[in-house]
Amino acid sequence: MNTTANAVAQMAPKMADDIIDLTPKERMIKRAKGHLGFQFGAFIVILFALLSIFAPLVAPHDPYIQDLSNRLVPPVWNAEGSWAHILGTDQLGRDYLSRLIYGARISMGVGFGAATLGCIIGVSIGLIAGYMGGRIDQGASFLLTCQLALPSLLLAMALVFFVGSSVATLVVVLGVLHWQYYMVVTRTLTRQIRSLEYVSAARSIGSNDRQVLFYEILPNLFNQIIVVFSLEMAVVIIHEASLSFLGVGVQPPTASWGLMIAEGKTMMYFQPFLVTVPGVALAGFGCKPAWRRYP
Amino acid sequence: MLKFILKRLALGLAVAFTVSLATFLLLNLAADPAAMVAGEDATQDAIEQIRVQFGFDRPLYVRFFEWLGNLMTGDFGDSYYWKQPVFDLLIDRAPVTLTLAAGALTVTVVVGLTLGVLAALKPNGWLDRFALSFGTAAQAIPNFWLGLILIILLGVMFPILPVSGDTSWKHFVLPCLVLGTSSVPQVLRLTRTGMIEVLGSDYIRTARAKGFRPRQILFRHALRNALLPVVSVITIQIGYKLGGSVITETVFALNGLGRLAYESILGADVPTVQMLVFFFALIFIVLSILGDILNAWLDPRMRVE
Repeated sequence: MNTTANAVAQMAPKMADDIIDLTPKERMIKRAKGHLGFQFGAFIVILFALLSIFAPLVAPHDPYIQDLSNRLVPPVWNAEGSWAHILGTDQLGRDYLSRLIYGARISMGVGFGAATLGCIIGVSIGLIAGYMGGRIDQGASFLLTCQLALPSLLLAMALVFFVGSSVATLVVVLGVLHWQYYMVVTRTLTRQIRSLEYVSAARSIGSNDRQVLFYEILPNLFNQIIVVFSLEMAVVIIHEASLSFLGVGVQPPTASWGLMIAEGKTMMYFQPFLVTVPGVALAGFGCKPAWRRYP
Repeated sequence: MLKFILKRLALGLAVAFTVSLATFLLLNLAADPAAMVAGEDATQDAIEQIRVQFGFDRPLYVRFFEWLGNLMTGDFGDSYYWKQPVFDLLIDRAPVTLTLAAGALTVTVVVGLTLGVLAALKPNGWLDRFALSFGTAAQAIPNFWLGLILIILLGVMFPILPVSGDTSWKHFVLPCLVLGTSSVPQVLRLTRTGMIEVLGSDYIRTARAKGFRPRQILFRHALRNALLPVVSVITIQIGYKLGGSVITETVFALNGLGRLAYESILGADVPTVQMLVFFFALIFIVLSILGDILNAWLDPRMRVE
């Protein structure tokens, strides 16, 4: 009896291995471990998030202090560069690396804020349209068509400039103009899930619409919404940089990558690093979600 | 087919109306137009006087229908900043932007389709990986930065192309390249996915079995079907190109609609800005209707709603 029990106990994990597949979570971790693109993307996101949160601790200098005797020091890989300013200084003698790190705060903050706002708007519209169907769905699709027709970058530029440039304006305007992809994805998935058996089951035990939407459907959209979120965040960050580059976004002396490129533009023929360095940072961030597109 | 076209046109009209309303409301609520005309250090009295003089004291809906009514009769309003009719400004600047959009579209279609087809021939091969990396990079790199880098490279370090102005065809090479690259990823991915799907289908196998040459199969049988979804994406991309011209034209100092929009925004010129936003939206609407009709014509299955 004892030996049989032992044998069963020894067999059990093996059998479990054979029969039970990995849990969804384990499968996800396993896939993430083997996926170079995911690791690269995750590394960049975490690095940038940490840098922007701990900017005052990480930045070697104050990004706003001007030192006119130390203007346009080239980066350290250049012969005239020095370790005091690893990425050199700009035309006002401000430390470039520090400005880049503080700029990450603006980019990440605006990107996260606007992407969240767009997410709330888009997911709400998509959920209701997909769940209700019929006229409400048609109305939502019409709204989507109108939003797609608007030249969003141009409209964002005009609105931000007319209202008055500030980080809050940027977040609101960019958020309100970037909800369409959340809506499309949420609507399609909601329509699919709506007719699944577990939703009927929930309804048969007396769940009302609100409960079905929030407890049965919404949690199952989470993965896809996260993917859209990361893509949209990059789009918004690039739009913020574009607006700041054109002088209608973040205002000087605040450090923003787009603004840094704009400020460096006048000197770029002589000191290309003023333009290349923040651009590489921006492109690096844009790469992150693009990599995640092929999981 | 006729019913389909009429339906699309009606929808387009409704969208155009809504968009014009949204544009008008957003831009007129974003700031006090009287204060913007008056300038930064105008007195309150001066602002009030301008408000009455320009009719800004009337309710929004009255002004909106007046604007819309004038639009119908071809009166696009007068620019406060440029001191001339908005219509003349548009006519003046449009050719540059249309040239830019056409050039950029050529770049997008040629690069996107070629890379997409090549990538689909051997999924996961080195060409496929190259194409996908290229797409990723094109998506990640901001338009204006790519423009500046190309200016440094091809305008300054190896000066073979002019980098600002719009007087010869050479001036358009770099802007078209920059604006075109930004849309390559979408076309590339769609072509690739479509081709991979079509190449794996039964009728291609049949065609192979019948002994058609690979090239014939690729271009005659596969590409035609794979291109259907690409058509609608391309029409949408033309719309984005017009919107994106703001940045490209500013970077390369082209005197087109995008730069006009930029300068009008900085000049707080609401009539011009709202007309440009509406104009770009209108072009987008017309293009998407054309795209739908084209698709319905190419593929009878699309005609059934």
